[in-house]
Amino acid sequence: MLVAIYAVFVYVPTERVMGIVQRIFYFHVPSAWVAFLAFFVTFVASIGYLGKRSRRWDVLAASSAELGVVFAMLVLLTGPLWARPVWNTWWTWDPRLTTTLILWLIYAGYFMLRTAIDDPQRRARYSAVLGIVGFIDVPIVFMAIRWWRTIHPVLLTSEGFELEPPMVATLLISLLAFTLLYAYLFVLRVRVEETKDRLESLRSDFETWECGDMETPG
Amino acid sequence: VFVALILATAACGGSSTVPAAGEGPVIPPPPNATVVSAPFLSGETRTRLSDQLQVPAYVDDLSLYSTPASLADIEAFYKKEMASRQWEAGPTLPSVSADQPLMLFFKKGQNSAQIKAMASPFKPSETLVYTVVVKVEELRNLPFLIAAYFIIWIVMFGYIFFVARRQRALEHELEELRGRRMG
Repeated sequence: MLVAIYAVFVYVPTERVMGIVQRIFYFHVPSAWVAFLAFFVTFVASIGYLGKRSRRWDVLAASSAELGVVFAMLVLLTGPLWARPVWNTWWTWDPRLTTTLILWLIYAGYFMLRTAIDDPQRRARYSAVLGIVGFIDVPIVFMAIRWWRTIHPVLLTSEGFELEPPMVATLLISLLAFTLLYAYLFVLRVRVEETKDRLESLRSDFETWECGDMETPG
Repeated sequence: VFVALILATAACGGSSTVPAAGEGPVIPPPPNATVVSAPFLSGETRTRLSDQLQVPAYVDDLSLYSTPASLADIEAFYKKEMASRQWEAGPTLPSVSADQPLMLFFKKGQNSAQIKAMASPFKPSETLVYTVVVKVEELRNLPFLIAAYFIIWIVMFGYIFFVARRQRALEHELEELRGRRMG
């Protein structure tokens, strides 16, 4: 991450037309990439859950979805900060922006669903279905700038990145840094769920043991 | 630290030399052009056309013309004219569809110029040409950059903090339960 920060603020030249504000791009695009990656992991883990009905898959899916929501939120917050000086507007109902907002809302709904259902197996099953269906929006977000008329810049074309080599290098470094950050946060988040499971199991053992103790005469 | 980094970047890599009024470079109009009044390109009023032409919000000099010349003629004209005025040519993006304008980029000193041309949606036999000069001011819009990175780090550290706190609370509870059981 330090290398990425160095590249963004020191190494890469300032974009000719947009000036310094273009540097938002080097963390905006990786945030979007990580959000896509996180939702993909949720998608795979949700399929895994429906196939195996194992709590482990549900933990992986929910942990990754939470990270996806956080990174998608960063995309939605940093985008307008770039758009205001460049497009002269904070928000426009452009296909790319709209589908990204829908993606965020789908996965925000995923957590509302999880909160609303008490039965762990039913919760895992329903959220696995939403985790799979919700992922359909990811390729739509990616392709929105190719399928519809949009003012959002197209970064990756069939001829590669439409950027100067130092900008491509900085972007790739940032992508790597954000992917590693995602991996670290994912491990952290899964560990919380594992501890929660251990606690639940111990609590249940403890309750059984206490009940047994009470039933023991004398 | 980030604010310092951003300021240092702007101070080292950038320049805010802006030509005084009247000294700025002038982009010639295309051949046989008439000036189009373009209130739809300014301020908050954005139209489909201004979106198609991808007009940035911070331009310094903007002109819009209508001409019967073709896109190929316009491209050839500006490549020759701008070179004769010592503008260094940047990339040229061809017009690939009716919605995508031809784009030409040039640089001269601290100024960059964009020339965009597309078939007029009002009169198909005409071509709309929009020329714009942007004086490079790297510190322009600095607050937006600071705000973006501030938000990113607040969200990241905030998330790590809350996850770590949740983990500590769970571990504490786990230890307490183990202690009760042992006791």
